[in-house]
Amino acid sequence: MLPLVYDELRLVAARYMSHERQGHTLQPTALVHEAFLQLQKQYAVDFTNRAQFVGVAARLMRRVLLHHAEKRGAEKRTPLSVDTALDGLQAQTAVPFSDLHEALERLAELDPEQAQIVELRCFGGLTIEETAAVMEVSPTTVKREWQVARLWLKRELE
Amino acid sequence: MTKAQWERVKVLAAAALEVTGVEREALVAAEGDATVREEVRSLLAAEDEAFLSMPETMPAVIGPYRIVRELGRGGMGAVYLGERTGGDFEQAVAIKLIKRGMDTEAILGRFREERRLQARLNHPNIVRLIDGGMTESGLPYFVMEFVQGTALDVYAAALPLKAKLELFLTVCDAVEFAHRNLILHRDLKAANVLVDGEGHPKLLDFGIAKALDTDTGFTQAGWRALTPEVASPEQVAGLPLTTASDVYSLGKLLGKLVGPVGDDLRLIGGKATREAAEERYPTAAELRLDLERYLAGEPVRARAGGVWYRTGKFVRRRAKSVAAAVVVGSMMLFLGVTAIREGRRAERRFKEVRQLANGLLFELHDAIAPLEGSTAARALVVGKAIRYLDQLASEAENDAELQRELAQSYLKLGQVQGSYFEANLGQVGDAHASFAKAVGLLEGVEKRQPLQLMVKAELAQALLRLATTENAANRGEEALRLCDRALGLLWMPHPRAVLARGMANFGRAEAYLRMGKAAEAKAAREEAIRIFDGEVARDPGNRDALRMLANANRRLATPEGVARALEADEKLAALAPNDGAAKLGVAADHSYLGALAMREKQFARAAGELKLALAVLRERCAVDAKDQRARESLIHNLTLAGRTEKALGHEAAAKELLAEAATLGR
Repeated sequence: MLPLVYDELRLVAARYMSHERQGHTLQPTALVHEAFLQLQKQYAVDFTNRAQFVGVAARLMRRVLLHHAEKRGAEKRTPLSVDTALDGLQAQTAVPFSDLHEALERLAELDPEQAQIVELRCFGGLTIEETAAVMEVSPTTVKREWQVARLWLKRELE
Repeated sequence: MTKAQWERVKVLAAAALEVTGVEREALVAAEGDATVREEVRSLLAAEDEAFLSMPETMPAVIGPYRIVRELGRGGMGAVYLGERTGGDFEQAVAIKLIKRGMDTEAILGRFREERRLQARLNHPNIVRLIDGGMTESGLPYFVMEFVQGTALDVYAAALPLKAKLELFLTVCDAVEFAHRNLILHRDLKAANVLVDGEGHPKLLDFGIAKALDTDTGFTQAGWRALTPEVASPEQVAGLPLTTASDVYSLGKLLGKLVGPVGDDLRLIGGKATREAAEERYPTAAELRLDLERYLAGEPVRARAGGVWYRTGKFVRRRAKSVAAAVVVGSMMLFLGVTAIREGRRAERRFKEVRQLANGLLFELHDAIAPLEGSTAARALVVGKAIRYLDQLASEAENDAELQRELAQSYLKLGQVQGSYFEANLGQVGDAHASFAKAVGLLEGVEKRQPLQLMVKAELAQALLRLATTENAANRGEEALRLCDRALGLLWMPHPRAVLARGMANFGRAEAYLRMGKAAEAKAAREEAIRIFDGEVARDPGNRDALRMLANANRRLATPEGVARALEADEKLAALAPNDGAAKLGVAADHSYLGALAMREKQFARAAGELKLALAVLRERCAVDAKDQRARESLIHNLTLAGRTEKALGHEAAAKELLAEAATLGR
């Protein structure tokens, strides 16, 4: 199922990002939803493994951002929503996106679950509650992991 | 660092983040493992509020809707502005996300029930409930039409009184519409009425309060879907709700909207917010009518002290201490009597005190009524009331208004003393005396004010009451005379008058029966039925009409008649799903049909009817274990059913039913 989902997601992402919405930041979860609904419609399959789906979507978003981050400046056709998201992240982290991306890769080597939580929250746009539901752990756990991850990443990026 | 150490680091770091300063340092220092300690210290040094701070509380998506922003927050959760994702259309909606901590499955289950009824709520002043569901994280949500508006009290704050009232009238309309479609609001507060940009009020949250109500009986404590300021007494007590409960909330809303104002408006608000549901306006439409009268400068119903007072059952109230109540009652009586002596200067105060005293006397009685062994106390109260009223009556020679009010008090007193349909203290003779006094007073007023329609109506009502006692005493001719006179007074086309005409015919039928004139009785009864039928057809939600129709048909004592009564009782039960009495009526009809069938030796048919009766009663007893009457009725019908099964030769079934009756009877 995975390659199928991935391709579809890319298509949906492309279509979604071509709607340039003034003032709206990239809302990844909305994207996931749309993709989810599209897929359900097209393939008439009941996607019960939502967690996997969302995980893939978040990863996709991350890749999209990375792709545009690297090309920004050089390419004049970065969608507004991506620009906004990247700017937002930059303001918060005080580093270029690629640095964040790499730091996250390192975190994933140390603690894959924790990195997954970060990915879901940052690129999937999930709240703590939603992340907990998707990963099937308690919100308390998510909160803890999230807080520590932020510390770790900050330290890493200094 | 090992995996275990890293796990330990995470736990410690997270805990340390919850505290600050000395506490934090101490917590970290207490860690035995040096590696862990150092790692935690190092991490904590990187603490940064702003770094990667993702919005916590606002979800990006709920169901198929994208969340744009938060609109507000309430006790139950937050409300968001949402946009439908996918497709070409963009529909703005308001989504109420219920916070964690409530029984989601139960809420959603109830919500699905409500949804079927909600589909009928298509009204320009009611915000449409579009959808509902559960988010991935297991939180229930409701999707509503988005209305950009201001809360009613805020919007209307600077408006003149008339404009405020006009807004309120529209609100009454919307509530009435919902009631006609069998939906109660249950949480009518200012915040739930939004006024949009064009000045149209829109009611929010219909049915949501019901869906959220997790009341599972008398053991459920804590959170209930109600707002204390507008919640009716029965709501607070966890009793079943009716349209009158919404009327109570409307009354509170009215008070909030208009603030402290003059006499009549305050009386209207007061009537809507009476403790006893029976004493309020029975419907939002009635409240609306009285407000319209107020706006037109006409006399309002709230003043007359209940012209169309019906013989309902008194709402069971929390038991009050008898002693305290009697003391208070005496005080009020004393004040009342003293006021008379102060003469004209104290007249206004006297009126207020009198009204208070009248109300209190009967509230007193009602409060005492449910207490066991209170007959003596009640007789005491009644005795005081008689003396008090008689005293007032002797002073009231020229005061038509006072006389009318006294007449109402006498009528009420008479009901308390006992009437044909309700044996309270069982003293028909005393009731007769009271009713006769009322009639006497009103006849006098009517002669002096022959053009006053309301007076005629009040007199007709009093005559009908008196007629019931005449019938109870088997004085048919007298009863007939009274009913005919009443009919003569009830020529106006007002729906209440129409119902009263029906009642008058019903009275005539009873009178004819006692005179041994069966044919005339039948004709009169059929006329009554015809009138009630007409009212029900004209106004399907009119419970009085349905009740009277049921009574009238039942009195025919034929299977066809009782079947028609059953139909009416079923409608009544549907209109008031929480009303145990209505359900008892349905059960009683089935039981009656069963009894009629038994008389004709149609045992199988009887068994069938009794089964239906038992089903209703069993359900009722399950829902409300404290309903004594239902319990007794159940025992009675179980016994009947047992006998029927025996007659059919089904020994085992008979035994089972009789055993069940015996167990319950214990």
